[in-house]
Amino acid sequence: MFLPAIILLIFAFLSIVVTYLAIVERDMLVAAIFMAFQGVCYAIIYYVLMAPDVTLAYIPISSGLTPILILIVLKKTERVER
Amino acid sequence: MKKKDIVIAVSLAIMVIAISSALYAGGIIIITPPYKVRDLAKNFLRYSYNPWNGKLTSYALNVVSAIIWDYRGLDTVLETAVLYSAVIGITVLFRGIVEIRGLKHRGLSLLVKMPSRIVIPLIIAVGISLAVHGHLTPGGGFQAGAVATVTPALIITIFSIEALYVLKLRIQKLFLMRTIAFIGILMISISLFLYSLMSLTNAYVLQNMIREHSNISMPHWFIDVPLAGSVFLYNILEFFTVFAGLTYVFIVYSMRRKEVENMWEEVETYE
Repeated sequence: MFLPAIILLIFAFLSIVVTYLAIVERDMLVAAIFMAFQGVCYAIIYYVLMAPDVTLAYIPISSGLTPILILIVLKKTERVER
Repeated sequence: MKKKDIVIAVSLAIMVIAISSALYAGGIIIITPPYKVRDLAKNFLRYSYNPWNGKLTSYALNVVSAIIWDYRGLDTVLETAVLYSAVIGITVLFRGIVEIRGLKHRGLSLLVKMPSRIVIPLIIAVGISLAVHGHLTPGGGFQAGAVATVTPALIITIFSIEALYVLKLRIQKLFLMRTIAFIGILMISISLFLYSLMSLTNAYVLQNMIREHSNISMPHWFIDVPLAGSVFLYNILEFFTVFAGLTYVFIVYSMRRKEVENMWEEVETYE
């Protein structure tokens, strides 16, 4: 009964922590990984809220395509933010 | 420094578990929908799969697909058009690029290359199954296209862009595939209307099943599986549109310096 609400709370809290880490991080490569993790947290929240279609679209885009796009950009510019 | 490494390792581990549990429906998190359904949901369920009343159904077990491609088909066709024109914008921005084979390249280590050789066919299989089963289970054309696009993106980062050229995935080919698929979506949306003009009956644009005042419909039953007529065809064509479009963007963005050099001359002659 309370399981969905508990899962929702845990992952919502986790996503806030990971977002903070992604903003604070100076190494952009690590920040991209944290960003992907935040995307996974949101995907699970969507799944708990019974939107599997959104989950299926959100997982490849948030944890597959966006970090890879950032990796390509980092390779062409520089890795560490000053 | 050591604390940071631990944080990264733990977060990566949780991420892997989370992705696998989210993909495997009914795994760690078991959530079933409530038995009491609201009236609005009841209406949608009735209108998406209702073989007892042919005029009020689209034979799609996935309600979201039925709404996206049947009841609000115009919305989704225009959405696809927006994606199509966005990629055209990128083409205009990057005019004058040439693909050069045989440039110096190096991928990641063997430790990354070997597992990805196993994983990449699986990702393609998931993408295709999402597209083909789009009208029966959660998923659909856009989701399938996005999942399949992860493959070329992974190949670019792990094996370098040279590997895509070896696989014959050239940008001209992708552009052609995208255009043909988009024209296919437009043709299917007016196909019943054109048919009705020839056979002197009534039909609507974007029509899928039998409706009031019109007796023609798309094929809606494949042996013993509901096919949902145009929803199935739209899903597959949308898969190709999204896959080709996003892959095109990834290839163009990851071009090497020598391939992009020509771009500036082209821009200057244009100005």
